[in-house]
Amino acid sequence: MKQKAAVSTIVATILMINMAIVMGGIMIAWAMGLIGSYQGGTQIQYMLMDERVQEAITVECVWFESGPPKKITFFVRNIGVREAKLTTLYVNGTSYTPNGTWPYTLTVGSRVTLLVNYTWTSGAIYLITIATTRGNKAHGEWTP
Amino acid sequence: MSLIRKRRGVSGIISGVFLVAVAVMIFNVLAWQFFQYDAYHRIALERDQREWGRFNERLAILEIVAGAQYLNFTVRNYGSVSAHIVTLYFEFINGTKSVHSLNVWIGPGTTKRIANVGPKLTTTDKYDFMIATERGNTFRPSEQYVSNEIRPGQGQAMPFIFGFGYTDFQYSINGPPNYDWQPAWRPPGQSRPYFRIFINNTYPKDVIVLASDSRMSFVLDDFQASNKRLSSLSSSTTISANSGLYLYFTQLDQKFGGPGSHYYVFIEIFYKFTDSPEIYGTTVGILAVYTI
Repeated sequence: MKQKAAVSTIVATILMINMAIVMGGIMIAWAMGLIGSYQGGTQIQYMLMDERVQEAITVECVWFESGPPKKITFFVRNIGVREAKLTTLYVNGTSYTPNGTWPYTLTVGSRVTLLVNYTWTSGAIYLITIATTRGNKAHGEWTP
Repeated sequence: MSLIRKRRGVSGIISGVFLVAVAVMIFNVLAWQFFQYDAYHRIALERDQREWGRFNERLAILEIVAGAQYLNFTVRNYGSVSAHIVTLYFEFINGTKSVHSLNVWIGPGTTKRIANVGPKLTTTDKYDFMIATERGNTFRPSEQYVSNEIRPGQGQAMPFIFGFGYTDFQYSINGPPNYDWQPAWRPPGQSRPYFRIFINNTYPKDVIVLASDSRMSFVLDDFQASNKRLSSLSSSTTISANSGLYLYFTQLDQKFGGPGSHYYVFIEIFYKFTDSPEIYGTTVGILAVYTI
């Protein structure tokens, strides 16, 4: 009994050490995978935040043209350090699609002229908003 | 006992290794998170710097030249950053609009002239314009519509300024080339002098004063036409922009009256601009002389 017990104690100790190492390794691998996926997600989030912060546009000028048909011309400039993709144009909260290429990718420092057929009224106030795919907006109020 | 001690020692090492591994992992995650945030913060600071530049960009549009063929104005940068003017938005009062590219850098605290830009202008045009900078700021002149009509300077309602200086109005008894110019405020009686006056052209461009009709009329203060004396402009004369010169007149057509005769002096000037055939007329001022 004593001899058997002594052998089994050594074997059991070795087995326990091995199992502990293997389980610890598995745990570390699992934790590293978890951390890796967290880091990946966070990195994408930071990348999107970086891009959004680097992007900036402004509505430089708005012309209300008599026509016919009546039109509104928008001059939009990229004042950021990253190209901006203009994706939505709102006049008083209603979305309009300008003539020409749309959505429009505006390179850094460049300006684009956007034209929308719109029956405007002299003296009225128009809230104009232009949004990019990254969620940045340029807006302002203009009066013909 | 020794075996038990050994077992405890091995498990202690293993747990120690795992503890260190876990600590390193946690530290790495925290450090990575910190570096990511630091990189984002740096980009956000750059954005703030750009916004600061944008908010501190200030330009003033001054001295828009009237009568010019193209837009001609001065820009003063009274902000704290250099400005790069890149676009000119132009609109005539009749609604005709146009956009023009510019490429003008202006340092803080400096003034720069921007000339010969925009559409072609005539003297009857009224317009509005706006300049835009690379940072997306826009600036307009202080008045809503700018008139390109030429107007005299210094607030006088005439295109030429006569300074009323003692020697600005002179006579000469002798004709050319031996003029003996004297101040003409008190010319000699019973004389037929020649005359000249010094006038300043306050227009921003050259003016030709025409000899054909410009003249100097001396009218006795009884205002009888028979008592009028005439001295005509000798020859058409170009007066450069924003400068002055003497206009020479011919000998008086008949003698002045005797000493003590008082005359009103009306000087009619007919002129045109060097780049236009249209002829305008004006007076320089009403002077007065009496003979001695």
